[in-house]
Amino acid sequence: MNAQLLAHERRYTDSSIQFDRLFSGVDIGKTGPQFKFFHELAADVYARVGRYDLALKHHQAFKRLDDEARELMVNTNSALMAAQFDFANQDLRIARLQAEQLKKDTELAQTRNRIVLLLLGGSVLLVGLLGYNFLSLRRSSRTIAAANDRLNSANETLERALKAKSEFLATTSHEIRTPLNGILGVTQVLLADDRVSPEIRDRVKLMHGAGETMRALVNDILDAAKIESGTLTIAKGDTDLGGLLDDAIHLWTDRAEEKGLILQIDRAQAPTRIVEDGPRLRQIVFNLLSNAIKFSETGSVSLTAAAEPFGAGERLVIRVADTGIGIPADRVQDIFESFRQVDGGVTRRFGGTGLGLSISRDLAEAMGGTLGVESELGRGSVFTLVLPLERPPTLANASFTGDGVRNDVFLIIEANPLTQSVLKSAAAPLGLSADIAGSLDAAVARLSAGGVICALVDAALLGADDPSRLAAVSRLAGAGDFHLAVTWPSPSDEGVQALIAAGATQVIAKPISAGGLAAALKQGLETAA
Amino acid sequence: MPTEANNVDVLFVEDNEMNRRVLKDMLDVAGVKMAEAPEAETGLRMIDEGDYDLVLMDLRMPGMDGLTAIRHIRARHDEKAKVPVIVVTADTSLTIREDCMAAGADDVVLKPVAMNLLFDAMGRTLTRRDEDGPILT
Repeated sequence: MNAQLLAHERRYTDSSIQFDRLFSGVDIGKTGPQFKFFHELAADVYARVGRYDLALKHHQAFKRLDDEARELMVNTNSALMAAQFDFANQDLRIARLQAEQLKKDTELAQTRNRIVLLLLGGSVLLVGLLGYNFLSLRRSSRTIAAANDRLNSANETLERALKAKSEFLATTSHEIRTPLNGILGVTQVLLADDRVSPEIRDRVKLMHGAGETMRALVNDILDAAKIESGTLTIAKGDTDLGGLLDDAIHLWTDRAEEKGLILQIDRAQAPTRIVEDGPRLRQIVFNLLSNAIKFSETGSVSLTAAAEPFGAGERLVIRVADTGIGIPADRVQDIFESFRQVDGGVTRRFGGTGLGLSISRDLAEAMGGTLGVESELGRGSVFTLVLPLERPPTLANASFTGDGVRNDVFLIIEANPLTQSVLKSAAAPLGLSADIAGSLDAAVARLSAGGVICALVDAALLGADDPSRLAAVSRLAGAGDFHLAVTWPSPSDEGVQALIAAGATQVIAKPISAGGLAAALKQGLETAA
Repeated sequence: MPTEANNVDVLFVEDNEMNRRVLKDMLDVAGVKMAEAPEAETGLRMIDEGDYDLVLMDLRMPGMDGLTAIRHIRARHDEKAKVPVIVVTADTSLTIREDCMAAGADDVVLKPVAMNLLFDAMGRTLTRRDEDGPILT
């Protein structure tokens, strides 16, 4: 205290002597949080009198205590959040139990009333009992009124508790998404950077995958809340089922390979386009694959999709079969309950919230379908998703070959990600399915795979000088049979002829607007056809 | 208003410094220049003084919130009232899209931001807002 006073009066030398006394025999590296303020002051005082070694020691001690305090604060915050969540849940449970009890009370009273009324109507002879009955009736009515009042107030409590829970979840989700934006933002930027070496790229991918899983978890938790409060909505639209299933498989291929699992897909019997809530369907398939891979140590995971006749219409059946640990027969229904894995030991072994399957089943039901499972302990499980099948009403199904591969692909050959998006958007009126190649090599690979009817490439991507640009045009044109449009800054007649000779089928002069580009491509495609 | 990708000037109004840094890096992948404003009031002043092709707007900020800021932009009496605005938010409430559109936003991108979805939203917005402007120069 004295030291503080002296420091305040700028008598730093005197103050430093006081601090010498205060800390004599004290291990500065091991002081408790009550010393934090003194360390800060001492560091300042010692620095002012030129005793920098002591100043540093005290500064380090201050920093250590400050870090500890900060960490404690973070822990307290999360503990508080967890406690709040639990509190909201407890409230909810109590309110639910109360509501159930009151409902029973009301029903009981109503039954009693009905019996009384029956007695009244049935027997005039029992006039003597009328007085008693009448009294009893009034008493019952009062009981009902009181029970109803209590039911109303219990419902209000329930509503409040539900609202508190939703608000808590919304806030938590918002708060988790912000740091997640930092993590996933940086991983995406790193993965887009050519200078990152393959070894480091692998590690960044790992980090990115972990971040994506976390994002999926936050979404699952929010969905669970929406399902519980009945605010989940299903929005059906034209959905590329083939692409959706291929993407899901693609997303899990690395993980499956790491575990030595074979991941297979068979969708030959399924339509490529359907009318469905695409993002929700993707979520279910993602969850089923995640589950199958998580619980399989050896063997394979296979996804099959097929259209089946059902009644007057059709249904879509998607099966995910694994060779995993399986589920005991008496526990099969439990796995669809929230926060449930077959036992606590399994949770620890495999991780996860145990929300995925519960949400998937709720989503399937909200989409008018079902999600079921057949399983054999130690042999594996087969999850079956059945959905009503609706095909899109347009002729667009003609855009697919017999193998279900799209043959109406518009390939954008462009390196800049924003220009890719701008071109995709500009070409949207053509009604083609856009695909993107970020380099000439990727374009040649994509063109060779087939299905492309039109490709667009800019002069800037073709090469640095005219000969190399023309060579690149021939290389692209040789990769398939399609309409090749090249955008070129104010081309001369000879320039156009050279490009056409090299294999281009259309030269579009720059600068050009979005509307102009769409019109030019449409005209080019019609001429080519 | 040029919409050619690497000639787009973007303003990001966002209070969280890390988020500004991340978006700047993402836009840099496409060669897009990004100016930043740490709160809505500064953002509005920068729009007043500068010339941006696109505004990215956070919603929850101390002081003026993002939706109010968008309404201020749309209430201007000059050409700048039409500047495309894309909301970038971690708010996933059910009506968030409708709320943003009602305030005058062109599109909504959710945090954590997926780079391809951000560029798709920018691509859509820029072409829709400026069908006659050159997209390739």
